[in-house]
Amino acid sequence: MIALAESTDEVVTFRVGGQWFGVPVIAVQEVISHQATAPVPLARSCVAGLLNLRGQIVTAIDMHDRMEIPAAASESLMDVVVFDGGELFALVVDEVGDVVAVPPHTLERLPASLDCLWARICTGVVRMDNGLLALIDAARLLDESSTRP
Amino acid sequence: MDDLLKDFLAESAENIAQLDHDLVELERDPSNASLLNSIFRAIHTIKGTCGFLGLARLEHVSHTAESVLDQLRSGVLAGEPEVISDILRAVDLIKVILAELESHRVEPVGDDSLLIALLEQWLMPIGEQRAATTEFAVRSAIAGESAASLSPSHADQPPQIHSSLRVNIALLDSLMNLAGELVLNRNQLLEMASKDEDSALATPVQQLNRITAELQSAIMKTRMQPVGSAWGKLPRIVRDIARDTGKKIELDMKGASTEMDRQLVQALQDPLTHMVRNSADHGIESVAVRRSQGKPVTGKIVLNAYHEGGHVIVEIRDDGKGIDVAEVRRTAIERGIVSREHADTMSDCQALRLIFEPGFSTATEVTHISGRGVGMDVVRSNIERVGGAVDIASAPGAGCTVRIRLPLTLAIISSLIVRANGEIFAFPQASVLELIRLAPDAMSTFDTLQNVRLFRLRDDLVPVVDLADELRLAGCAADEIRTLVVCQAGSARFGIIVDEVVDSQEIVVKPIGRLTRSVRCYAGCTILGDGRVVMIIDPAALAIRSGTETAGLAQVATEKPVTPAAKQDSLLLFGIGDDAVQAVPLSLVARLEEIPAERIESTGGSMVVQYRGSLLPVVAAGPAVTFTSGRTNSVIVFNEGSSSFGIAVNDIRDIVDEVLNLQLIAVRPGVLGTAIIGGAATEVLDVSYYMNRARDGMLS
Repeated sequence: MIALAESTDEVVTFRVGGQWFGVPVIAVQEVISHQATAPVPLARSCVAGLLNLRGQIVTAIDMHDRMEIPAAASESLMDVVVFDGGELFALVVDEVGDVVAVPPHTLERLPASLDCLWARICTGVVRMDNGLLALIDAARLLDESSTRP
Repeated sequence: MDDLLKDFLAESAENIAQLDHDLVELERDPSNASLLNSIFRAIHTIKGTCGFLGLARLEHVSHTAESVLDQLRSGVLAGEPEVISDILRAVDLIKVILAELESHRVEPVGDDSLLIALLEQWLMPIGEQRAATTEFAVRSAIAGESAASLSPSHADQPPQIHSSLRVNIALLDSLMNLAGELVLNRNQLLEMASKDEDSALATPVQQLNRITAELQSAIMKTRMQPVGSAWGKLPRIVRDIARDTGKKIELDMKGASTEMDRQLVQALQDPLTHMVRNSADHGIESVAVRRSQGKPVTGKIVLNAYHEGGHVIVEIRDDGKGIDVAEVRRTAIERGIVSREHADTMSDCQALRLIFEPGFSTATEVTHISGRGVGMDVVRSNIERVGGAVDIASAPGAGCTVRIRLPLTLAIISSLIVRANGEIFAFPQASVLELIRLAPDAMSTFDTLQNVRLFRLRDDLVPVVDLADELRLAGCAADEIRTLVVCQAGSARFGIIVDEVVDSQEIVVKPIGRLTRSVRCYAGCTILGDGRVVMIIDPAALAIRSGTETAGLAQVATEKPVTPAAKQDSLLLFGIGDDAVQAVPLSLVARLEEIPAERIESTGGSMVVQYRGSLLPVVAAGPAVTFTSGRTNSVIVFNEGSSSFGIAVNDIRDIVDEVLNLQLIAVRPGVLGTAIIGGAATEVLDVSYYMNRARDGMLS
C-alpha cells in the first residue's frame, strides 16, 4: 500500500476537524452524503456503526475518533467509501475536497515529532496552499490492532 | 453413478477440446515441455477416472496413449509428426467413445487392438520401432477400421449440446447479492404503493413483487446441489471396512437427489463420513455375533435424506448393536464430563447425547478405521456451525439412528426480531428453544448464584442475562412486561431477557467486517425490509462472553469441597488496567519481559511479538490492558511443551508468598476464581484459557 500511495498521483482530500487528509483515489469507491448507521454495541470506539450501501454492508469509521480529533457539533458529514482487504468502509468526515494530484517529488517525510498514532497511519505530508495535507494509508487506518477497543 | 458419469463427461469434454489444440501446437513445437505435461495430465485424468468408472475400453486406449506420451516426456521419443498423429488417432477414438457414452450411458463395444498395436510400437526400443514390418498394414487397416467401427453408430444424430454450464461460484454469489438488493428495493416500492391504492403503480409493483420472489428462488436454486454428492465416497468406505473386519454390510442410500445449498453439502461431507464409519466399524456386529443373535448376517446401514418443513433431514440408521447407555454414563463420569449425581438423574435420551460432548469417545480400542480422537463432538460442532442440529437415538441390540437437521440454505435463516432498549436485534430461530413472558415484578424473583441470575424453568435452573446489560446499551428498560428468550448454547440452555419480540422473518445473513468481528457476539448482520441494518446475535457466543456457560460448571464445582492448598505458593501480582490486579502462581511463569508497545504487532486479528528469532503469540489479560506507543508493556511468558505464549499486562506489581485458596469459583472466562492475597480479594488468572486463546489466534 505504501508503494501504491507513492506511485499514485491522485488523492481524494477530506477534512476532519481542522486537518485535511488525502487517501489514494484508487482506494476510494465513491463519496456519498452521510448515511444513517446501525450501532454495533461493544465494537471498537472508532466504529460508528454499519450502513447499508445498496445492499452491501459497510463499516462506518468515525474519523474524529480514529484520528483523535475532537468533533465539533454542527458539521455536515460526508462518507468516503473505501475498499480495503475485500471489505467496504465508510470514513465519516466533515467535508470532502477536490481530487488533487500529488507527484511523488512533492511528498515529504513525516515530521519525526508527529504523534505516534498519526505516524502509524500516515505515509507522508504535502504542502498545499491552505496548509498541510496528510496522506493516509487505508490499510493502516483500518488495521484492527491499531484501533482503540 | 449417473452423476459421476455426467461429471466425467463434462470434465473430459473440456480436456479433449484442450488436447486437440495442444497436440497440434506440440507438432509445431515438439520440445515444449509444459505443453507435453499438460497433454499428459489431460490423458492421465481421463485414464484415472475411467478406471474408477469401470470403462475398460477407454481406460486401455488412454493408458497406452499415456505410455507413449510418457516416452515423449522423458525424451526417449522425439515428437515426430508420426507419433503425434498416432496420439491424435487415440484422442479421436476417445472422443468417439465419449460421444457414445453420452448418448447411451454405456461404453460401446469395439475392438481397439489395431490402434493399441500401433501405439505400442512406439514403446518398443528405438531399433525395433521402424523394423516392425506390419506397420504399414496396421496403418491401412486402421484407416479402414476407423471408417467402419470408430464412427458413431448414429452419425445422423446431431451432436448433443451440453445442457449444463460450469459457472464460477463468485458469480452465483454476486447474483444472490443482487437479488437481495432487488428485494430491498421492491420492499420500498411496495410500501410506497400501499399508501395509495389507486396508484397507477399498484399493478406494476405487484408484478415486480411476484417476479422478484421467483427470481430470488431461482437464483437460490442455482446454488443447490444434490446431497448425494456428499456421499459418493461412502460405498467404497463401507466396502473397505467390511473387507477389513470380515463383516457383511449393505449400504442403502435413499434420497440422494435431495437438494440443498452447496456450502451445506460440503459441511455435511466429513461428519457423514465419520458417522457412517462409526456405524460400520462399531455399530454393525461380526457375522458370527449376528448369526447367534438371530439377525440377518448382513448388517444394514441406511442413509436417508429428505425435506421436512423447510429443512433437510439426513438420517444414518444401522441395525447393529446400538449404543450401551450405561457405558456412555460410565465413560462420561470417568472423563469428568458430568458428575455422577447428574448422570444418574439424566434420562437415557439425555445420557446418550453425552457422546456429543468434547473429550468423549466410546470406542474402547483405537482401530485404524475410527477412533482417531475426532469424535462425535466434532460432528456436532461442524453441523452446528452451519446452523444445523444433530440428535441420536439407540435401541440396544436393534441399532442406532443419527438424525441431522440442516437449513436449506446458509444465506437465508428464520429469525426472531427482538427489541432491547429501543435497539433492534435478530436471533437465529434455530437456537431459540422457547419464549417466556416475564411479569413486571419477575425481575426481582430471580435466584442469584455468584452474581449470575438464574431462572426457574420448570425443574431446571437456567442462567439468565439481560441483552441490554450484556451489550451495554444506553438507557434503561422500562419496568414492564419483558420476554425471556431461552436459547440452546452448546449443550447448555440459557436465557436472554429482551423487551419484546417484534417479528419473526426470513433474513439474509451478511458477514460483518473485520473491525466488528472481534466483538464475538454477533453471527453476522442483515438488512431488514426498510433498509435498516440489524445485528444478528449469536447466543452461544453471548453465553461464553457473559460467563453463564462457565456458571453451569461452577455449580458442579461447588459441589466438590475445595481442598485448601496447605503449602504457600509464590504468586505474581500484575495490573490489568482500571486499577484491577490479578495473580498467577509464579511456578507457571517461564519469564517476564518488558516489550515496547510498538513491537507488539497484530497479524490477522491476533497479536504477536518477534521474540528470540520466532513469533510469540500474545494475548491481552483483559480488555482494559492498554498499549500506548512509546511505553512498554509487561509480557508474562508461559511455556507449553515446546511452544510459548505471552500474556500482556499493564505492569508487574509484586511477588508475594501466600496460601492460594480459591474462595469463589469463577463466573467469567480467563479467571480461575478469587482468592485473598495480601489481605485483598484478588482474581487468579486461568492460564489454560489464555493458552487456548493464543493458540486459536495463531491458527486463525
